[in-house]
Amino acid sequence: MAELDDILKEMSREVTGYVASALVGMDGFNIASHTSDRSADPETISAQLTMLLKLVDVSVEKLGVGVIEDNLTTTENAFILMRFLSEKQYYLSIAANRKTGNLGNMRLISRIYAERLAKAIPK
Amino acid sequence: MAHGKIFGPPPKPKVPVPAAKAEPAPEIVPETTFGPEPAVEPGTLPVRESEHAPEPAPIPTPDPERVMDTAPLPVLEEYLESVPVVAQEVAPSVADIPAPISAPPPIPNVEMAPAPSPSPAAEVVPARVEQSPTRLNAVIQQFRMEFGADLISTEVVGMDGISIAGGSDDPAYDSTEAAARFSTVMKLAAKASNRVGMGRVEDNLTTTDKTYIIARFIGDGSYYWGVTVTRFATLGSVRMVMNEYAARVWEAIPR
Repeated sequence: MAELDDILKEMSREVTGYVASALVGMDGFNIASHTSDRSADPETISAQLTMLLKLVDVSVEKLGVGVIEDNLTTTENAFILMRFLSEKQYYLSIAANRKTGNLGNMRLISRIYAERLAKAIPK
Repeated sequence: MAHGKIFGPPPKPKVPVPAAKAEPAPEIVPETTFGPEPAVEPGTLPVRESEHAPEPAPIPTPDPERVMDTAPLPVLEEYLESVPVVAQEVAPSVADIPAPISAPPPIPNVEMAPAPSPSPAAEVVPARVEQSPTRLNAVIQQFRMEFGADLISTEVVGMDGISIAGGSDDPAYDSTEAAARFSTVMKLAAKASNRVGMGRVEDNLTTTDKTYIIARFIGDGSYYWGVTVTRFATLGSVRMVMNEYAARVWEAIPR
C-alpha cells in the first residue's frame, strides 16, 4: 500500500488548492488516503461520499444517460471530485479548497492519477 | 298499369285513383304538393315547388288516359313519407329556404384566410413550455436559447422531486424521472457536506460518457435547477450561463 500512498502524496503536489485525497472501495473504507488538513477526517468523508457516489451511479444508470465517469460536488468551502476506477470497484476522491482550487486542474489531474492508481492496486 | 306493378307498391286506397271518367281537377289532386310531374331530385325534396313559387302553377286539365298511364302518385307519396324532411315540420319562409344543393356550400372567410406559417421555434420547443406563459418559463426558455442543440433537458425542481418548470428536448430523456432522482442526490449531497463540515452545497456535476448533468441549488435551497447537456457542450460555458441565470430563475419562481 505504500505505493498507493506515494501516488496520492505525489498527486497532492499537482492539485491546486489541495486539501485531501483518498482511494476508497465501494464499501466506504479507505484503501489509501492523504490529507494536508489535520482537521479533516478521511474516514468520515469517504463513508459519506461513497453513499453519494453510489446514488449518483444508480440514478445515471436508471436514466440511461451513459456510464458515469466522475462526480463533482461544489460546496461553500470545497470542491469534491470522485472518479471511478477499476470497473467501479474503487474510486478516487479529491477535495480542494473552494477559493484556491481550480476545477479544470482537478479533473485533469484526477484522470491522470486514476490510471496510475488503478494499475497500482494489488489484485 | 304495368308500371305500378313493377316499380312500386300497390296504390294505397286513400289516394283517389282517377277512374276512367275523370272528375274535376281539384278533386283529383288533393294537395298542391303533388303536381302532375314533380321533379324529384335527392337534394331538392325538402323544398317544394309550391313553396318556391309565388303563385302555384296552373293545374293542367286532367287527361284520364294519361293519368292512368304515367301518374306515379302513390309511389311518390310513399317516398315523401319515408324521407325524414325537417323542413316539413316548420315551414320556412321563402327567404330562408336554401338553394338546392348543386354545389358545395361556400367556405367561410375564416377558412379562406391563409394558414399561419409555423415558426421554427415552435417546432423545437416542447408544447408544454409554450402553453405555460409564466415568467419562470420565459426565463427557462431564454436559457434554452443559449445552448441550442447541446441542451438535452432543463428543469426547476422542488425538493419534493417535482418539476415546476422546464422540460426535455430529447424524447428519449425522461426529465421528470431525472428531476425526482437528482432531488435525492442533492439531498444526500447536502447532508454529507454538512456532516463533514464542507459547508452548504452549491451544485453537483455528474459526468458520463455521453452527458454532463448539473444540479444546482437556487435561492434558499428549496429548489434546485437541473441542466443536462451533451458532451459536446462547453462545460465552463454552461456553468457560467447557469451562474448568470440562477438569480433570475429564483426571482421568477412564483411564491
